[in-house]
Amino acid sequence: MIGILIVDIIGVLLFGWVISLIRKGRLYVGYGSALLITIGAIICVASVPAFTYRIGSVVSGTLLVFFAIYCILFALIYVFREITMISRRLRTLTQQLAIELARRGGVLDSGEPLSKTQYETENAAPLSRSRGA
Amino acid sequence: MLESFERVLVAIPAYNEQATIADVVRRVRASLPEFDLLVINDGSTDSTPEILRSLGVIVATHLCNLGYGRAIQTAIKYAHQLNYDVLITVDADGQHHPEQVHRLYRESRESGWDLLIGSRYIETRDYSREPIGRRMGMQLFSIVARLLTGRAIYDTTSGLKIMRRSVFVPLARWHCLDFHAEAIVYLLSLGYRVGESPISVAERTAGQSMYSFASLFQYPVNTGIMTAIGAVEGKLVQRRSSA
Repeated sequence: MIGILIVDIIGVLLFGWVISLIRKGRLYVGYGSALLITIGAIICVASVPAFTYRIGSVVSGTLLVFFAIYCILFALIYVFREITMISRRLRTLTQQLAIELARRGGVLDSGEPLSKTQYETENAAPLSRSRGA
Repeated sequence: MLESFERVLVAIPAYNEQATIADVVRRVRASLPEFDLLVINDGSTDSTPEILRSLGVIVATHLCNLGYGRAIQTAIKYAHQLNYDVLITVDADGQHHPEQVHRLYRESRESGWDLLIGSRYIETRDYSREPIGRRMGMQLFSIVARLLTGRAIYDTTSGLKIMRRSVFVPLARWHCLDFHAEAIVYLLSLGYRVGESPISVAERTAGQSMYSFASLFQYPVNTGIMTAIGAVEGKLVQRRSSA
């Protein structure tokens, strides 16, 4: 009984962590939804014996098995978070490059790149400034 | 021609729309000559970039495909950085009639909507023209939006939207997926005014929809999660700012 409780508590904590990461934009919702479904399924299988038998298991899972699954999930969340952060930076870069290209008339190699001062002077209300406020 | 003292940008996100993009750009130019035009080429691999170059239109080119939502976000960032007052988004597949934009723009200005959606269903409430999967999704998110915000939005997936400057920053910051139900619910939760106005659309004659078979399952799950989070986040931000 205590084992099931521990599995449920860890599951709920992981669930909350994933939701929090999605909310902050640090985890892509596509990865997040898969993780949430998996965590939900683990909690169900651990808590409801009928589920365990329904999925073809002869004996219910041991605490060690659930810990192992949670460790893998933890690692996955970490990796997905890093991938999301990298793709977010790449996305911002791609978007800003597209905007700069549009402002220069769509030509990639026209003129020298803008310095930071030039950039801030030309952009009356850069988003980066309001973001930091 | 509409008399306007506002700087208005019309943005067309395009991904592999070689069959329709030239016609859409010409129609927008002819119908809305007083508005600036921006096409977001979302990493097209067909002849869309060449067609756009020949049309002499301002193009924001994503060097790789980022998706519809990110293309709209690029347009919002562009409009914000270049101090536009209003951003109008029109689909590149030729389904929208640019001639209807003037009426929507006028309504948005007179009624003070922060976001006005060109709605295909607000008058008829008839979703039967859509395929069954999409129809269910639209009706589901219309109900979800009403439950979370108390405001009925009948067309959460319309690509014809009129956004005012007030929503540029929240929409550029928030990690919306496709600027559908999740963005609408987020804005409503933040206290912005979101409205709908009826439009008619033409049948898609070329190209293919951005929704695949896999998105039948992914779209409702991902949009559902983001809609719920958007509603909570909007309320939290509003509470924090009022405290």
